Amino acid sequence: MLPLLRSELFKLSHRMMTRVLLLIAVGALLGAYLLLGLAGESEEGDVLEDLRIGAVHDNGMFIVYQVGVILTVTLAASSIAGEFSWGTVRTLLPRAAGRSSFLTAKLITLGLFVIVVVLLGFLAALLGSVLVTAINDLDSSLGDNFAGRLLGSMVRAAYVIVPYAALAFVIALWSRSSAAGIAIPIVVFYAEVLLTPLFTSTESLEWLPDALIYSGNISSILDSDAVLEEGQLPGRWQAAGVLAAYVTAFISLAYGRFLTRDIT
Amino acid sequence: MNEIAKRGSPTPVAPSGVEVILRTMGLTKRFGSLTAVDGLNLEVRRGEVLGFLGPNGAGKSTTVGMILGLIAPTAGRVEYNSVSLKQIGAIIEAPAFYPYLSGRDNLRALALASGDVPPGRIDDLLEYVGLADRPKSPYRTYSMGMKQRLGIASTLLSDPALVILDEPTNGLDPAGQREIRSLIPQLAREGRSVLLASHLLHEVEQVCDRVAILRRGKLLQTGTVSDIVGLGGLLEIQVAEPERAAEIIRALPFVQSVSVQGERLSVAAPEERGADISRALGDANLYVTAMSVRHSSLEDVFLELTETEAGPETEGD
Repeated sequence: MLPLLRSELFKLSHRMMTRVLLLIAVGALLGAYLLLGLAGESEEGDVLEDLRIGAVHDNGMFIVYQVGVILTVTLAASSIAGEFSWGTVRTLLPRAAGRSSFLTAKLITLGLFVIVVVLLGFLAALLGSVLVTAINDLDSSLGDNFAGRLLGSMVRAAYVIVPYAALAFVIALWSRSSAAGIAIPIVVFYAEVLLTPLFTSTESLEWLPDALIYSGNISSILDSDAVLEEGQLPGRWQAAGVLAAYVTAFISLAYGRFLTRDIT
Repeated sequence: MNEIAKRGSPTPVAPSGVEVILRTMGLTKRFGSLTAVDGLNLEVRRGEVLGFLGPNGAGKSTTVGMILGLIAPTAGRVEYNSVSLKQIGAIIEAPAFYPYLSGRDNLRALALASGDVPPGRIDDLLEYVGLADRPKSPYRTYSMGMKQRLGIASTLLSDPALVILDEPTNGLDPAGQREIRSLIPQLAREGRSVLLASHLLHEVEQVCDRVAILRRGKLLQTGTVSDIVGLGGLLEIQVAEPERAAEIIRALPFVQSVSVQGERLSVAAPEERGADISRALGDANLYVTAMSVRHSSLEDVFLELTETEAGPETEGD
């Protein structure tokens, strides 16, 4: 499996798309901080409070998640669908140590990409928050255990990106289409946001948000009350378990399909 | 020795002392109601160039896919003797590489995946196929000929025992085609076997030791090129009453077919039976005014075999 992993990393590091996506991660985070920091200077004091360096673990995590989902979904889908559309799966597979090794190498590479996106995103957020703090002369105290909280936020951001990346991967593998692999997770994301109020207001569907990806579970891990009230969110460990179940299901479907599919 | 094996025959047996490196046994693939490959018995011998012929949709690529483990057979199996799957270098249908990588980087990605390519091999191969002067150009900027050359280089990365080439001269200029045609026997001289799928029958005739002809997933004929070509020999006979002569000739047991064109008959029969035909006509007071032998090309035989609606009837069918 190691030769395949080396090959995957080689391809990923030599692909312009990878560099562009990472550049977007940095640019989006830095841009968001500077834009909000400059716009919020005169009127929105509470926005500025969220952007100061001591709050980067919280606010930065949420933006990294939002940007990271789109970037990793894009990479996950094109990483596997590209092999089919270019026909390279036929070139590579006979040389590979096996189909499962091929898929495992791809998934590990995808996992590493998630980590790099989160790391770079947080670095950009950190830089952005330092600049916003300096420009607006905000409170520069870091608070207790800043490094620990920052690390925890990075882990949480990475964790909640993975279900969408896994969904994109399995859809792209089944459909052999990057477009489907990118579009469906994004549709799922927005559909959840739009439909959750309907679910919570319908007695027989009240339980549903806790079983979905974003509405109850990712919100719980990110401490977000954007979709559900804080009291409606499931516990964090329960949420982590549900997301892990989704990831396991998506990856199992990917293996099941790929190991039995005819590569024509 | 005549090595021709016909459809429905048991697995071809190589002459003693000839090593078979790959054998398909009753290999079958169905896609729903379509049978793409039907009970294929085929063997590839060490150091030979085997031409794999068939019209579009005959099942060639599906067979190659099953040999490479890309397609699961519905029935039958592929037996690898003293060769592993990783020792097979193949281009299937067309060269396929990462468009954003250069030729060298594409080979490097494949070499990394294989894990057994010695250092320096990539540069040697780029030199070998004439791509050393554009090592950094992205694959997407390559001409069709360059893509084919890179494809051939990729098949040789892991010092393969068997090289499978699917239309390797597609898109090449005449000089490039000649280079590839000279490369193929060279591969065989190095002890590699080559399975060459091609529509260019003159190309196959020039470089292949044996050919296998496939139609609608069934193996119609296998044998040496000379034996296969010998199948299609025709006796051309000029005679005064061609229709009556045709009836008499058709009744002869060694005659496969007779067609009448004006005063001339084309008779599919062994060349050495010319005297017997002449005698039979003479017994009926019909005298041959001219007789000649027309040797077929591989193309003639291929077209005759593959364009016949039901294919040739053989024992056991």
